[in-house]
Amino acid sequence: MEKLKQNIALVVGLSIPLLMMLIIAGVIYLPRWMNSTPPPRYDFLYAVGDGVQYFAPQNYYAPAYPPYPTKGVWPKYTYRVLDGKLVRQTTGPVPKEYGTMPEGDVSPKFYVYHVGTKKSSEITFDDAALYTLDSGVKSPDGFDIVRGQGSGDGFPFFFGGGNNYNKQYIHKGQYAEELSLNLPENYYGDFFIAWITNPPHGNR
Amino acid sequence: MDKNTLLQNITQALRDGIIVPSDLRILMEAQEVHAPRAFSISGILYYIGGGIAFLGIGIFVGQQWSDLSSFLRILLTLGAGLAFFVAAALLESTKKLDRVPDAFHFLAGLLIPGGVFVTLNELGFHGGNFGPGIIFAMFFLLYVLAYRFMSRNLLLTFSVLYATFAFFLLTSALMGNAPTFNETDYIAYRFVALGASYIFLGYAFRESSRRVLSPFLYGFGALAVLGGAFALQGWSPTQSIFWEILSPGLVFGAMFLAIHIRSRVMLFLGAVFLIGDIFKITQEYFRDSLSWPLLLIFAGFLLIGVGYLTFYLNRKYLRGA
Repeated sequence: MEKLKQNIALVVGLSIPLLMMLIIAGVIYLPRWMNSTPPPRYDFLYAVGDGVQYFAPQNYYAPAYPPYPTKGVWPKYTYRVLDGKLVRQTTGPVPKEYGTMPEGDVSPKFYVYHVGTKKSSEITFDDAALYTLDSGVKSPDGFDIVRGQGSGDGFPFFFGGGNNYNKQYIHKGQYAEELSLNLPENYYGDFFIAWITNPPHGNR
Repeated sequence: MDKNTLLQNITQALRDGIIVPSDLRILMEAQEVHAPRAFSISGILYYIGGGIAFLGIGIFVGQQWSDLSSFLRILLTLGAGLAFFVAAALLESTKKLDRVPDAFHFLAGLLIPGGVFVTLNELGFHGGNFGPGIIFAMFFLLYVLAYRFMSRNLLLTFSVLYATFAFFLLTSALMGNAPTFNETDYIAYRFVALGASYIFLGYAFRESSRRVLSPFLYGFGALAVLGGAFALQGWSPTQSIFWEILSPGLVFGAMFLAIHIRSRVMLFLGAVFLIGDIFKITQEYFRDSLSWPLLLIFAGFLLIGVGYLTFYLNRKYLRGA
């Protein structure tokens, strides 16, 4: 006990990092073990390709990105969520700054991610248009879709450990589960369109 | 009393249990504390020489890397590191070579961890933070053990360095890749904890032969705590009021702690972060209520105050520290 008293600063100095590791482990893993967050219930619609006007809540100046040319053509149609439905609208004439750029149909591929089975299935625009959608960032049960963290693996340091920005997670509080999406490799663009509120799939 | 008689008496006292080996260690450490700090040109040259040799090995191996077999890669990194460590340990036993063993320990400390990772890579292990974290934790323990036998502060420095790597790697492994916390905040919290740990270690070492490490631990510790707390404040409109209140408290705490532990570097860092806090808070909360020139006058006078406070504390309490 006398020895402990003499070395109390050393003991505290060594204990702080250990305690922090224990606290972090507790904060991250206890809620998962105790299963305190119910799993997500709402499937969502996403797209790969061009011509979709994604809702952009981070953009203070415009609620959605304006149409833009792709693969050298001006998209004939623009897809967006309007009043809870996916709609296809004619984009309009080619803006003057793009000169004599040709118009073309550059339809994206639409997918539904089933949170119950954790799988994606491709659907046509006509089928997707039947769903009732919620284009909010969070699902009605409070989940959102976020990218993985940027810190790569620590090893091998000098053989190039990649980061995990291109991994996607469905997330709420301490709950985070990696999504298995049909995205191209190293895809950093937008893909999420909206949560499907009717009919709700998954575990509901 | 001649030297042999004295040694015989000490041996007898040890046998009889009148004194124990730790008493001798305390006596030796106390002697080292009172001895003037050896900061010689030769000491600096040993480290510079070690650094240049490490650079040479790194460039040479790097140039030949693609042509080397796995065995040679391991031999030139891990093998060389272990050889330098053994050489340092053998030189240590001669006790006649000043701080030459430090130069070899310096090389070994840089080469051995790299060599272990090269070996693992050659054996086909890839990925993850947990494994490297455990490896660095083991290096930390091994170097603490080596320090127990050789009492070289450089070994203790490396053990602190390895423990730091282990802490960051293991906490990264715990977090995984899932977005459970805000990544920037998570890094800042870890720096605050690490900095606090450094300050306590510096304090623990202050009255022993390890005291040469204390100023560095105080300096890096204060930088980590105050920098982490500053980062945790965030910026309008998503600032954290809790950290905006706590951070100046930590800054003043660091400045007064600097007086208690007689650390000039901590006092200086406290002043720098106090200036940073003044600018941040003024810009964030008084930008719209005061015009820019008035704001500059206000911040300027506050800075003069901080400057005088630092000068006063330094002159009154830390002169000669």
